[in-house]
Amino acid sequence: MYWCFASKETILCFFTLILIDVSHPDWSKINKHIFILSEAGKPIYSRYGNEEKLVTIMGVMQALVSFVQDSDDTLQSLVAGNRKYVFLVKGPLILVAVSSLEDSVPQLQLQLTYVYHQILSVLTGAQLEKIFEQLRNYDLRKLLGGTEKFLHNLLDMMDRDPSFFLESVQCLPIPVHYRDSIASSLQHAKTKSLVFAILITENQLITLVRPKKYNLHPADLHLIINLVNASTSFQSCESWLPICLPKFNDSGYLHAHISYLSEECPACLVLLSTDKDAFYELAESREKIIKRLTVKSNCIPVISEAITTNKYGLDYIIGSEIWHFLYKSKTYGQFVSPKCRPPYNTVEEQTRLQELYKYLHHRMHASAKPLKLVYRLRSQEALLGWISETFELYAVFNPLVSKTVAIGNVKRLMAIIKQEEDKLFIVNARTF
Amino acid sequence: MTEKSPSTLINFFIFNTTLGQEEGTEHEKILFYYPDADNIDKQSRSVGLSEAIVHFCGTFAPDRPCEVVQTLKSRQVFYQPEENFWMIMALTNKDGNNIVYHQDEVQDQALQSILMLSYKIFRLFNGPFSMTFNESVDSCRELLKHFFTRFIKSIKLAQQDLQDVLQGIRFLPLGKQQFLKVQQFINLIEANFSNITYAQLLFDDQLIWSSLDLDHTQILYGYLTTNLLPNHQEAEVASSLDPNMNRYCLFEPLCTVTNYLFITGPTELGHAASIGKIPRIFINKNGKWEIFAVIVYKVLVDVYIDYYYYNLTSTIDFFRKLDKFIGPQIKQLTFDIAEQNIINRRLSLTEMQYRFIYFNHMNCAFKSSIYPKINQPAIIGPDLMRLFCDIHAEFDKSKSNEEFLAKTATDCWVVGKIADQRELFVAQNLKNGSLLDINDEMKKLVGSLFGNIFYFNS
Amino acid sequence: MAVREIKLCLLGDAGVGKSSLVLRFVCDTFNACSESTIGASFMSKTIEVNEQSYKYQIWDTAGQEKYRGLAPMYYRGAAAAIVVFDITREESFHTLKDWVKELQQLGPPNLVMAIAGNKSDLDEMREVSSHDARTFADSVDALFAETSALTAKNVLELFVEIS
Repeated sequence: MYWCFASKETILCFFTLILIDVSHPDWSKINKHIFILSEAGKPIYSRYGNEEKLVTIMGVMQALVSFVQDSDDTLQSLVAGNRKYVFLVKGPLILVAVSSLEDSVPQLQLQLTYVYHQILSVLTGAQLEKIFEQLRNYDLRKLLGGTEKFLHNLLDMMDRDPSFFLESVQCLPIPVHYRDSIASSLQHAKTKSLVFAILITENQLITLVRPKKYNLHPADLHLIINLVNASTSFQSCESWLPICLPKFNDSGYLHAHISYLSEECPACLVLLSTDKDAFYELAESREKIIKRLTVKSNCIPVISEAITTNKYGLDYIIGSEIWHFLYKSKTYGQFVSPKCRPPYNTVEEQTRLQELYKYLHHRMHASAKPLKLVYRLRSQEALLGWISETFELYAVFNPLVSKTVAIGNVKRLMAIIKQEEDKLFIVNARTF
Repeated sequence: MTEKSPSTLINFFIFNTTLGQEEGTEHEKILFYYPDADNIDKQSRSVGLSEAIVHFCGTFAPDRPCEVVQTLKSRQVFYQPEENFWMIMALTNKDGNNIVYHQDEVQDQALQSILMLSYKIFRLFNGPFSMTFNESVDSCRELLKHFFTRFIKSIKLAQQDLQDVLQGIRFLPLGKQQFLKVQQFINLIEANFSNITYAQLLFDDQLIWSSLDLDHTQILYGYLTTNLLPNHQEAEVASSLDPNMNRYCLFEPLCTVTNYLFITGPTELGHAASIGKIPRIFINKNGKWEIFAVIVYKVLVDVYIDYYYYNLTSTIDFFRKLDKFIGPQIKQLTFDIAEQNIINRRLSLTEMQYRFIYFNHMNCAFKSSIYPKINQPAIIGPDLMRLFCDIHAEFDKSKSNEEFLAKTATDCWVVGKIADQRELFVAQNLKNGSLLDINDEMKKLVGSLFGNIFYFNS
Repeated sequence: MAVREIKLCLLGDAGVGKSSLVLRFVCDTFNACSESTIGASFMSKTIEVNEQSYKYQIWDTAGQEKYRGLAPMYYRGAAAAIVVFDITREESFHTLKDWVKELQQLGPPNLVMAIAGNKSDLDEMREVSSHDARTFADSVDALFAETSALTAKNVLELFVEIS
């Protein structure tokens, strides 16, 4: 039994907490919960468990948040042992993360912001505000129907993919002349209402063409990648759907034409327009692009090969000493990282690898001025982080390796990256 | 870097969850609340929110109680010293800044240590909360008010750092012969005076010998070196300057400067009336809390022997007998110890080149070159101290052999190492130094100062 | 001989099987674990009927409520519309009637309407009788067929009949 504080009249009342789902034996074993509820406490989403059954616990979350708001303050986080509880209020929504992983509080806040953006991408900010203004008790699940899988996928991606906490994008390594060919094919397909032309694979950017005066923020690009990744229904047809990109414009929709280059090629072409009737125009653009790619440069098999084998990537650097790394170029706003190999080739190990990176990233950025270098020897691995004005490097080593060998490996890696720069990153941004 | 106003204490309260369970009686849970200027409604709200947060965290992990609550404008630390008892302290955030982690803000563990230490000292003088609580809730409230109101005045928020988290003991290492002599001496006292059960011997702020277990030694040492003895020393100085000086201390012995002296006990052996107030402490002997009296006997300016004895009535005869017995015996011993101390001082000059903190979990041994005197702030930047605290918190979680080396934005190197329950933290400026350079420096340091304890990895 | 183009859209409640019908028609496959459509999908297929080639341009729309407002974009300018319901869910039949009404009021004139009662293979769970459905279809001058994307029953036939 405990307290409930309902309102400004300071009426204190009791209610007995009847825990249904929460009493399930596996509840404490879950290492990251995400909850979304409305300001009125109505359940909208829960990563695990049926949100219907979590009405009471969500009511508690809402009560805690509003109680602190009553004192003209904002609840941010709780720490209990190795568990962190992070609260974020955005618009009419309350988002809560409960994590026993290594994510720091700022990292969890960023993840919740992404979750919020995902909801915005379906509804737009303006619509969301309006709905709750009109009806405080509205059940948002009605409008989110069918899009839970995007939230699920986004959350899974955030546990296994560093692009989120790095706030950066990973490119598919491919020789620069192919990339230029692809980009110029996209450029030539420009029509009146085409705003962005993007070619992506599972979680990497191949190339992007944008208008001169607009940039596509990495956070928006992550939402698009999540959209394509989370659904298999884009594969056999051309799709047309509205999407709101919060960083670009949070109160309106862009319209996306989504299709794959071919049956055999896992690259997905996303054409964005401001005009909701522009489907046939963009379908034609698509035809043009594919024609150019096939006839002029025969890029498509190259793209497929690059995706499936990561032929031009830096996988060969990994060995018995350096087990994995992330290199972010601050100049280009992109990062590169090898495909996972043993010991990081299972889902559990990949999640743990990301935890190591998140720890290192947080440790270096926790103070107002980042640390320049960190070497951290733990029982299962040694971590090395290096931040300069132009790059950030995070590397994982065999713990038995000496510091001299580790530094040697890092220097070799940096030299290779410099050499292969034009394959690993998009160095020339193309515009219409 | 912008100047920020220091954090201030918003509130500090203690409550028991078994009280006030019926609607309308929630305020009965409160056992102590500061500031008492807050009206009862506001107090109930604070306690209510804390209890709700505790329950909320409990639904996810019943075995991990809530420790820190962060809001935009404040930070609260929680501590559960005994079942159903909660201690909570809230501070303002500087400037209400949105930055959750601030490099020069006091770290969470350092703040929690305020609660833990205050509880331990309270328990030392009054026994555990449950003891008085079970006798009478009202007298429990009285006791808490008396103790904590004064304790709160002594809190120095900005100064809380790793030293407070570790609660280490500075030892004075003696040669084998001298150590045996000390041991003999103490055993003799305990044999001749049957009601003296435990003893501790200190030189200045360093511990030479204690017959108590580690936990009690730690807390008593802490209390003696940060409270009783400094206050006594100040009193000595002050009484010759200004007898009306107003100071906070738990016990106020009057004294005159002599060579042998009972700091707690009679000030003049001739007069029974001068016995004054003898502090009582609670020691947990085999699970049972028993009351002991503390007699602090000062030999020379810097040597103190404390005796803890069980008999609650003390006569002047007893004190005379004690004084007579110790007096002659201690003289030679004291000179030996003082000499050893001077030798140790010379050795530590090499230590002074480095800024370090060393701590051994097994005996709480603490060594550092960044605190000129116990109880004084560290001579190291708050951002570096913050990093020390964060790394210690990480080491605490893992407990295996680990290392941490970092170069800060100002090109200062911070190194942390834990091996076999011993921790070492070092801050070192190394112009244009690389990772391998600092590694070599560390090897040198560890070799010269901790040669037989640590080694530093390649 | 010139290929005749038929622009066609599928409408109906979420989960009735619109995408499955299209997939069966275009690729002759069935996916038991398919996901709900986002926005709308576009596919085309050419078949020969009576020595005449027909190219179907098919818009498969999402059934969720929030996409309701986008529907006019797809039926405007369409030659035919297939409105689908699930015979095991009476609710979807009611939604169908709403769609038909909308098409009658706002759809292009001369729009060929077809009503498909899908999931005919699940006869044991039927909630809508074929008699009622057929009667309704007749009343609005629409083609009617009970289809099953799973068994492929009547799928091709329905598309052919539209031509």
